[in-house]
Amino acid sequence: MEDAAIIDLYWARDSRAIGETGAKYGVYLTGIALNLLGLPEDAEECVSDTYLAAWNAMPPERPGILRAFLGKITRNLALDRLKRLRAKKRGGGGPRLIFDELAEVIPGGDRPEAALDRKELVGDIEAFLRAEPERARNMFLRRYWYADSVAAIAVRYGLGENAVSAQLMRTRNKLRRYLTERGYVI
Amino acid sequence: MTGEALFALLGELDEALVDGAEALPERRPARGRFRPALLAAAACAALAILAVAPGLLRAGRDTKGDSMSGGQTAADMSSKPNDVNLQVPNAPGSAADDSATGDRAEDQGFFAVIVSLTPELTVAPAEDSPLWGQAERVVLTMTDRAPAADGMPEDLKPGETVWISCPLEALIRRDGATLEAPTVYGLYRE
Repeated sequence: MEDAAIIDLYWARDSRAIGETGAKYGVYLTGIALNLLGLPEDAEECVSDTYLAAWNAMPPERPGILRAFLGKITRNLALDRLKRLRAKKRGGGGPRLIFDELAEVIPGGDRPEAALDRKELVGDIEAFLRAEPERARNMFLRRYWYADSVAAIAVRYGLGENAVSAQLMRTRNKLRRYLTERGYVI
Repeated sequence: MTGEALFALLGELDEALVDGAEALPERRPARGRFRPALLAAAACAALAILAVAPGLLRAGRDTKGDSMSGGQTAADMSSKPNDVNLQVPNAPGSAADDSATGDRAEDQGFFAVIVSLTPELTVAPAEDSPLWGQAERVVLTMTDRAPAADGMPEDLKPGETVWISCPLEALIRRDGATLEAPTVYGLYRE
């Protein structure tokens, strides 16, 4: 079913919207949730929560890209779940390696987030990524948005894992220099 | 800012930007470009096998019927509408290369990235492979572990790039669907 038709089902409050969403994007959403949460049962609950959130969001929302819209919900819900699990001391470590890699980009872990203009920072990161070659940009997003493993990215792009790690490191370093020039990194 | 906080922040990136990374990477057309050193290594390995263990090679070829459904032959499969005859002028075993190596066309090979090892060996064509752009995934069913007999490393890992010597025509389908390989003659580290 076309995305527009699925969105119409949500707007018509037709419960088939959930089934159609699951049929078309269930695997995609589960992949995101699993990358972040690690356990299939947690991922499954997260995806179910995504359907509920989508149901509550549409209307009034009418997403331009349904897949990314849903993926974003899943990603946010998975991160919230990670925090809850951590608070309950039930794991919730998440993809530590990915977090560690990103910690190099804007060092100073104790710097209050409130001190940063989030919207401006996001805009600057978007501008940086848009200026990157397509492959480097997409590999960065696969790793730091979709939380794909290096091995999965290597297969996706037909490269060795070392080549992927090296490319990601180059992009991170470049992003850090870019943000330094703009005063985000002191 | 902690790595986790930045990771969360990236969730606010433009959806179109994010969705662009979901599309499968553009596949380049087969370039027929091989690395000379690798070619030499593969040729040496093939010659060594031919010289030392001709029986093993015959055993490998005898597995054709076992690993294809319905008793198909490699020729049958290559004549399917979805099949494509790969033109790799400089590939080992290609018509252009026969005089140098004495190999037959079916002894061509390709670079591949190991995707999974069980229950079959599933590979994806590597960027330097003549199969790049021709097939997304190839499943090699090794019923008799013939590739091991031909020198397949025992400690392969997903993500590793290898050279696979096999009859290409039987492997390639334009729609990218997986296909059993009738025979794999050799599998070597890049």
